Amino acid sequence: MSEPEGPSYRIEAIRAAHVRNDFDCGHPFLNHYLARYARQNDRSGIARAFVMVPVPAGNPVVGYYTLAAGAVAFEKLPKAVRKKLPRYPVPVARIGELAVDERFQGKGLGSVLLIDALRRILDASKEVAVWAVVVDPIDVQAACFYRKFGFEALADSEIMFLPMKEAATWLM
Amino acid sequence: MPKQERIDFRVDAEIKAQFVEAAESLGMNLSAFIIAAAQELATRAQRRSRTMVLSEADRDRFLAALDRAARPAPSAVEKAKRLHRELVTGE
Repeated sequence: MSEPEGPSYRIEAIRAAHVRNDFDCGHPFLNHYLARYARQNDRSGIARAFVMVPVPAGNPVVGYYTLAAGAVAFEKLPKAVRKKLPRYPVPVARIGELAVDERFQGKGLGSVLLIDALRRILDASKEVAVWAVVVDPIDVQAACFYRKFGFEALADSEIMFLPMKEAATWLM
Repeated sequence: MPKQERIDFRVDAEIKAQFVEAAESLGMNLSAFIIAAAQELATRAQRRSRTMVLSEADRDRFLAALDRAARPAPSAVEKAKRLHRELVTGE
């Protein structure tokens, strides 16, 4: 087996020691979220944040994603449909933010973060019911990214989703 | 609704200059600009925190997807799994 070339990374739960003030993914909201709110929201349980850092240096943060539990409900729910749903609203996991620093873009690190997020959700789904993974793409580019990985768009909602069953099969 | 509430806040000069310039480039006054920007973020925050509610058409599509047999993995997923194996060290 050949050694992988280039740097390697670790993906871990966010901590105070993670350097994230210089992080620039080209999207002010996502930069600001990482610098100011990611750790705060992680601690208060609003959304867990996981950061990608180079090994062995351990800093700075080159990418991150956030995870939270969520639920999907329906405007109309006929009795026949309700009967088929053991859980309602439908329990889902949400990938909130997902971003890579511009200086590290073009290496596929976004896709690595997404796989990592899906793995973490899969692990959680062994303990807590999760029927789908839901994302809320921040722009058209993000929506294209998720589509490549099998996420489906909806007609009247901004969110995109991937059934958990499929994610589980694909990650095996 | 009549506008009876006020929002006052202090910002540093650099941020104010940035807001003013951006607002002018969109042909908006400063308060309209700030309200529009904040509303966009507020909508996003609500989508995040609340239960997502799907229309009838989207409900059918969503539930059908949960029911169907798994599709084959997209090539992007296979490629990303490989990259993850190569680049990410275990914990």
